[in-house]
Amino acid sequence: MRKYLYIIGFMIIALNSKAQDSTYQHFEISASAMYWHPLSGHLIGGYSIRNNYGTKYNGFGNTIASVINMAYYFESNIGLSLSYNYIALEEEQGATTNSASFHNIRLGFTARIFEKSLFGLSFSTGINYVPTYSFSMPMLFSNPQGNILSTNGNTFGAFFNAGMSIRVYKGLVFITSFDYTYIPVELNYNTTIQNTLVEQIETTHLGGLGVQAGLGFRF
Amino acid sequence: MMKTLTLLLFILITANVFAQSQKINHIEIGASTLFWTPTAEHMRATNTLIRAHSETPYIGPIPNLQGYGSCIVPSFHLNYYFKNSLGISFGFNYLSLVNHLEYYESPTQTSGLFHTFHNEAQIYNLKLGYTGQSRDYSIIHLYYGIGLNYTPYLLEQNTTRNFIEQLPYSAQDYAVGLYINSGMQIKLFKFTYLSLGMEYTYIPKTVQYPYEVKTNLGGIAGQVGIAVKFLNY
Repeated sequence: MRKYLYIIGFMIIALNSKAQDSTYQHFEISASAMYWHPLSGHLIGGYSIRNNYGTKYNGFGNTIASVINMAYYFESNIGLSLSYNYIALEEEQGATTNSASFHNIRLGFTARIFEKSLFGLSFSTGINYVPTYSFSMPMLFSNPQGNILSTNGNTFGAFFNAGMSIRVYKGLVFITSFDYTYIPVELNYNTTIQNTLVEQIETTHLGGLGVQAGLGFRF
Repeated sequence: MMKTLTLLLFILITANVFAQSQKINHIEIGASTLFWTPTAEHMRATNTLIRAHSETPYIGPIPNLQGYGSCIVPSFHLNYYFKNSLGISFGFNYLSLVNHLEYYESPTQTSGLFHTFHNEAQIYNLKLGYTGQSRDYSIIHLYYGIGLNYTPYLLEQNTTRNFIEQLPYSAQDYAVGLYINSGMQIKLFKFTYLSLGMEYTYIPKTVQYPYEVKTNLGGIAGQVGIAVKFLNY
């Protein structure tokens, strides 16, 4: 009888110790709004190409995008993160409109400290996959029909995100972060006018800077 | 006798615990990969080539090349921490930026006049500043740094028309600016840490080609690297 009590006692102690090792919250889901500003010359614009056929304005502007992020912490402060955001840009320059959109799917490592305090800090980095991008703008030699140059494709890059969280209530946290992406790409715009293939090749990148604010839930 | 031995043992244990709680690794050597992008308009690359593939009416290619672009480069640092986890940092990285465009001035793309535009920037960043790390005994801690950036640079803009090099525009001088960085270090094994962070540099300079341009040679970068810490006392 004593032996069994000792074995049961030992199992309770071991299980309790194990449970105490995993009292941190493994999952975090958050939704935030991000003000995004591109860093490449082609997306920022502010310059024009001009010749005898007309003037072409470049640039796609800034935007506010929604971001969804999920993280799983396999250690108390190291985990994996999966994130999605959709960037849609539109810039009107006189009678012309340049528009662009691309999806960002991010997979990477995330680390956090002071997560049990009122204020916590986090850092994430990893791969930024753009499964589809779509760009369109009026061509340089615009005719009365207003031909549009367009391109689409996919590309890879890297992301870096540094953030702070403020505990609001139990598992609910307010999150704010600074975001930087590096996504080199070659955009091959083209259109066909009366059997003439017109192309515009831009060597640029889709990266930018973002400031995020939103709410997260840990469980 | 027993009481004395017990007291000595208690003092030794307490002193050892206290000493361990004060130990930090004083020297840190690190190497990382920088994903660097400029923030100034003059440095940002635009690289455009417009072509029409048709004999009649043929419209010649329209090129536009400005700026120098982004890059991925290695970066190195050496830190010395004083007792309170604050210290001094020496860092170095070399940015090599190239923006190149070439095209044929003909509809066939294989004959006719051949032209190139080539902008190249060589920017050396030597850093000296303060650095600090959080006194956290888990496997992750925060690091941060701020300091001065000494930047010798060479900026060149070259054009060739039909293989004949035109007179290049170049600017060579040095600039002084500021850097700020922050990030996290995750302990991998005994003395080795995975280092993740971001850095921003601000290096204002009026660059003198044959014409003058007020610009900023700094930019923003993400860092991923390895740091080794030693000299623990």
